[in-house]
Amino acid sequence: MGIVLIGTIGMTGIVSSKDGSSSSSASPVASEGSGAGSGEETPMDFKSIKKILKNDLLEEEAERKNEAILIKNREKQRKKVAAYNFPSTNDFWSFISELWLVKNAPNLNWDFEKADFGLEESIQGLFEDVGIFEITFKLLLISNPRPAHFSLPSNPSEYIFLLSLPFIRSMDLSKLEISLLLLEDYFRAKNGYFKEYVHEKELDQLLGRNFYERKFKIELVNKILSNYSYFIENKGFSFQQQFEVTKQMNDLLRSKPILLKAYENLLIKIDVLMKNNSEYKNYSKIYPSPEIQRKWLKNNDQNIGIFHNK
Amino acid sequence: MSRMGNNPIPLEGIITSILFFLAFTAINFSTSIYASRTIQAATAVSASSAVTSSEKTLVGIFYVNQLFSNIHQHPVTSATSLMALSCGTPLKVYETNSKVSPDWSAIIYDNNQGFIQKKLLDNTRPLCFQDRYPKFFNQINLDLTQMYYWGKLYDQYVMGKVRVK
Repeated sequence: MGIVLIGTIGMTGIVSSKDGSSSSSASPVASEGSGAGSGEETPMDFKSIKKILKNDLLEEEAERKNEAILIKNREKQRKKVAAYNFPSTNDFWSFISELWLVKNAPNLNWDFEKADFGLEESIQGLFEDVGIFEITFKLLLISNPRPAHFSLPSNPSEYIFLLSLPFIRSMDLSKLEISLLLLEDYFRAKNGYFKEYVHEKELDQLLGRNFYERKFKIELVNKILSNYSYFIENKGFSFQQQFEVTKQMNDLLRSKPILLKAYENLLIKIDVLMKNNSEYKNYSKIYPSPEIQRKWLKNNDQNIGIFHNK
Repeated sequence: MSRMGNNPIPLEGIITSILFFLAFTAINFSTSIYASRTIQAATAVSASSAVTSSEKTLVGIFYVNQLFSNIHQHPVTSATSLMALSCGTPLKVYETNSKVSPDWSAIIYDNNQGFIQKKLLDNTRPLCFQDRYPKFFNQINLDLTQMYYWGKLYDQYVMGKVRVK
């Protein structure tokens, strides 16, 4: 260890030591790379030459510099942690739904050239007519017969509709009937049936939070995607859920007889298709059952009591 | 060498022929150089005129506003996709005087001219999903095919908004 007498009044410093460690009276210069992370600046230790700094009125300057370095380091750390934010509820569902569409693109077959059927105006017109406002929708036509139609979860006030072109063509549905079909899907999405089924408990601990220094397993996303597929292809909605949706449709359309009549016609068409086309024989597995829905519409006041007591 | 005109007539004829031949060759050579340079210039013009003829003025710099969007060779969704761009990518948008639908923008990206739907562009850089949740997004680990399909998704959507009148 070398001791050097520095020829400055009142100061003695150990300039260098064998093991590189510094004593309390050693040089105040910060050593590089000694901070918590790489590239992080270390605040300087001016205690050893405090007296001199005070005399030279540099103490304030030293404190200011230290403060700036601390703020900079805090900001770096904040950004580092923020990179581990998990999507909020609003962002997550839209992303997952589109991820499912992308991963199932070959199965769903939505990437094909199609004409403009004028559905955008028709859907907008119907929704406005029945008093549903300030929502956005994304309609995706698929060239496969299944799923016949569906609504995927998305951001608040946004709805992703799937609609099978072969399905609507085989019944020769009008634009109004198609819009009514999607109105039903709107209610199913709004009631959250699908989201409730595909949701995983683990997701609650992550949505809108941060997983810095915690483990986030990608298997959770894969599990949710497989829940999507299972529900859309196999599980479907329950009778109770179908009843609730039918009741909502009835309540909404009751004051508009033309629309209510069109809705009944739609249910008849679907019922006939299901019974006569083997391609759609499992339609009622997902949407039970158009025939019973028609009965509910006819006898809606009497049947309410049955389900209210459940 | 004897002066021209002092040689026997046959030799004169031969010399004259040689001279004419050399002159002719020199002319052709210089002409071909000129021609090839002209062709090159013309080619260069025609390559850029595909841009120049269709662009009037630079409208501005716009940014992709969806997770992924595709640039198309022609202003139709069924046209060949040239590339998929991620959210926040800046694009130079040009005016076009050709019969391009008002729903499409002519753009140049990385020296490639293409077209992208206007609804997929914003005039300010959006706060993209990938920027807000980078670690989550990286773990999803999308491959190129999935990025391409994601861009196609926004080509295929029929999008609408129901507003209060």
